[in-house]
Amino acid sequence: MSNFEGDYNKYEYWLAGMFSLSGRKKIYLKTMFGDAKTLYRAKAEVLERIPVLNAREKEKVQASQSRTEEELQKSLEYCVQNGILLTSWQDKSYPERLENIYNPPYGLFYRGNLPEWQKPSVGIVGARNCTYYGKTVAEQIGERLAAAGIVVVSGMAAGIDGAAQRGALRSGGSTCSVLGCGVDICYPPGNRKLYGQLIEAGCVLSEYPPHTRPLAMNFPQRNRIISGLSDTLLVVEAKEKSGSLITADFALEQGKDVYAVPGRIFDLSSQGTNLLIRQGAGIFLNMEDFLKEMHIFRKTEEDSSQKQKISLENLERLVYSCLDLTPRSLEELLVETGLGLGVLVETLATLREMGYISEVYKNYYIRTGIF
Amino acid sequence: MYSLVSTAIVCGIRSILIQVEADVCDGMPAFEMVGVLSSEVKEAKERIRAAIRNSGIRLSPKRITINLYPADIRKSGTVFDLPIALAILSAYGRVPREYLEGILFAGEISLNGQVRPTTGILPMVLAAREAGKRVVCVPKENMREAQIVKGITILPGEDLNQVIEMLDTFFRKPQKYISEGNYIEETVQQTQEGSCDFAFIHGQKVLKRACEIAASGRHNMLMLGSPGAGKTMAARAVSTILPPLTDEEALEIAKVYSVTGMFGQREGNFRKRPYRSPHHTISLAGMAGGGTVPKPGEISLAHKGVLFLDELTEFKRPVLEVLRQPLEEREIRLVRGSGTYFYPADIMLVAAMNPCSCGYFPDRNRCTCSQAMIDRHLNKISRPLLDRMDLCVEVGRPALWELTANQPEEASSAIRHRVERTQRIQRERFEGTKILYNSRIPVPAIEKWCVMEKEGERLLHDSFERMELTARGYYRVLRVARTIADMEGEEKISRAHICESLLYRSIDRKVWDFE
Repeated sequence: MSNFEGDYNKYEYWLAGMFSLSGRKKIYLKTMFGDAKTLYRAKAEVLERIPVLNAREKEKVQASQSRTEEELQKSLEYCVQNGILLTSWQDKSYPERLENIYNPPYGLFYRGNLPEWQKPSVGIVGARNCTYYGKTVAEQIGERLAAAGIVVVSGMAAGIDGAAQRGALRSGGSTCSVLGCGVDICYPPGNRKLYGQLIEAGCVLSEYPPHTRPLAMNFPQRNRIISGLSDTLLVVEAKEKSGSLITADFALEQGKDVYAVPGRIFDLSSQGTNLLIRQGAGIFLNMEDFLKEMHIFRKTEEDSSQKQKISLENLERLVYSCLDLTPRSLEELLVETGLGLGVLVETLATLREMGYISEVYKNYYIRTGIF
Repeated sequence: MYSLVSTAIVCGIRSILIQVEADVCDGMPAFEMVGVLSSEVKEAKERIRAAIRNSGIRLSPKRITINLYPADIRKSGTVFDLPIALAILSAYGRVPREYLEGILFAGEISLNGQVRPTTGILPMVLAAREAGKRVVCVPKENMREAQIVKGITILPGEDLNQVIEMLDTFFRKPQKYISEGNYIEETVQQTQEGSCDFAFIHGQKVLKRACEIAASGRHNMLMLGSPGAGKTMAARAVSTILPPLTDEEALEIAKVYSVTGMFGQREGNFRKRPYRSPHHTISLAGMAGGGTVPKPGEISLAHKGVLFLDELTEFKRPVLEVLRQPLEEREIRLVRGSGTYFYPADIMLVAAMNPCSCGYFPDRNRCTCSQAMIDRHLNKISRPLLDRMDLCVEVGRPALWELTANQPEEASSAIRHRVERTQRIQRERFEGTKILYNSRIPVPAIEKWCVMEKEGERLLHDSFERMELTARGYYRVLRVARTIADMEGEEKISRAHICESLLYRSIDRKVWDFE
């Protein structure tokens, strides 16, 4: 909390929250003026002489300077009250990974605890309208990566993003969300519970100052931070035209590895990921393989494949073998197994009790353990 | 001269006897009617005057006063024409007063003297019998309706002259009109032509099983599935596997239909359970019953039968919310300025809906709805209503081979036999109580009637935690399990029964929500 004291900070918040000026230019100004306070107090003539700013940007800076000291103090107090912190350029807590990307954010507002940036990190992104397959995969990958001490970076969106982070939180690992709005706003509102958990046990961060609405134009920009914060980007599910592919483009631009989870060729929600693989992205096969690719070797034996541990009675094995990660309806299972309804239902209940399957939707079942 | 004639008005589905007094005396010619009358009763004056004249009866101009009592009830409806006309004729001395004694009259009269049919005859005849009257004179078209009541002699009225003649004959030779026999018993249950049969539904084993359970224990059922999967067809078929009505039930339903003027719909199949499927544009009054003197709504017309709500999410919210109280209390209470009206509403609710607005969720290759859209779709139905659904079943699209395979499917009649057997078991168990079906077991009695085996109990308790069942949901699972056990003829509820019952538990938010 030390950086809340003194005058220094409100100017930092002011500079970090200034709109219409790219992170790159803010960093330039900061370097030029030494600190934000000097910039705030800089006269118009001084600004005039700065070569990188065009006329419009100069106007913006001047307009921003017109905010009074009291106003700055007030916005700072709002942040203090709501536990919103700032890590800005050259701060110790500022993630090193972002320093080397094109147009890094000048500062990041955040709630919760910043992850330890020296840890390896994986960005998990994907479709909002995902399938149960994608959701389950994302959740389990998130869980297993976080358990392996990897930071899971995502965007807290509906669908894949949220699922991955829920998984990460479940294993008690570290995860952070990059938002396209102010960190005091929960978007989408349906993820309120996740948002709360992230503030408690993870972190939500944003380039945008508090109160910023979730505008559509913010999200592609936010994606560059997601990829920037990750060593490797994993796309779980994406349609042919998807925001996740923008993130993948940023990742490639920033020199990160891109991996995709393959899907069936007829599934619309896997067309984007399959396309990425076609274009040369890494293919996610299983956890061990993926971790090896990331040069993470663990000597734990807990992840010896769950499948080997499964020992089932004949009937249960029959039913279990009909299930995978695509939800199967009861009616389909009846036909496929040829069992009577009563027997099938009881077997499903037994399997569910043992935790091997779950009912994801009314009368639709999938396997739970996959890796 | 003074005369007195009995008639009745309908109040809810009850009927109250009304006396019509007429006085004819010398003085300034006038026609006065008193006794808290609504406008349609006041208009009777003009109709009666013309009807008497056109029937060829000449009356000398005198001062006529009509009084309807008891005076504290507002008289509405058109059944008063015939009694008023006869009271006047009697007061003039054209009809001997003793001819009218002990007879209840009801009927509308047209300007040419014809007696026209009217609504609510059945409750009136019942009220007449209760009051000790043994003879009723009703419009000829309503005769069938009156015949339902045992031990009543019916005089069918065609026109004013015929009625006077008939009264004369009846007075002299009453045996000519004595008609015994119960109309309900004469009719057998007929399956309607072209009605849906389970034999026409291919595959869909889960759905069929759920329908059978629902029918056996009269549980409410919700079907969830993509468009064209066969939800509507199944709902229609449910009504074909319900056992026939008992006499008492048939009478109760006939009363409701009589009051609404829809008696004709019940004619010929009194023992068939009603099946109502109102369109989703239905108004609140249409569902619950409405009007200043309320008429029964769909919920009462489906009494003892099936109320099917297709496209549940499209119904207006208040229309669905109004179902909540009747679903618990099995009757609907309508309070108006003129009084409180009770209508029976012991329904089995069958509803169908799509899982999302496009209808294809969770098939993401076809469904493009966002999570927010799906949430919005489900939010159209309130939790309390969902909670009242005992069974909920997903209806998938049948595969082509299932449709084309020429496998004979079980016919409704075979299923109905099983349903009847299961209901018999329930009746025997609940002998001496007011309960008829498993779905009606009150919470305090659940422990007594729903005895579980150890294994089943353990599973249910585990599931209570894991599935976050509500207390109401917990009891619903038990009631459904009781029905499943009864279907198998088991005394105790086993683990398998609980398993299956849990399968049909009502949908919860978690089903849609990814959290």
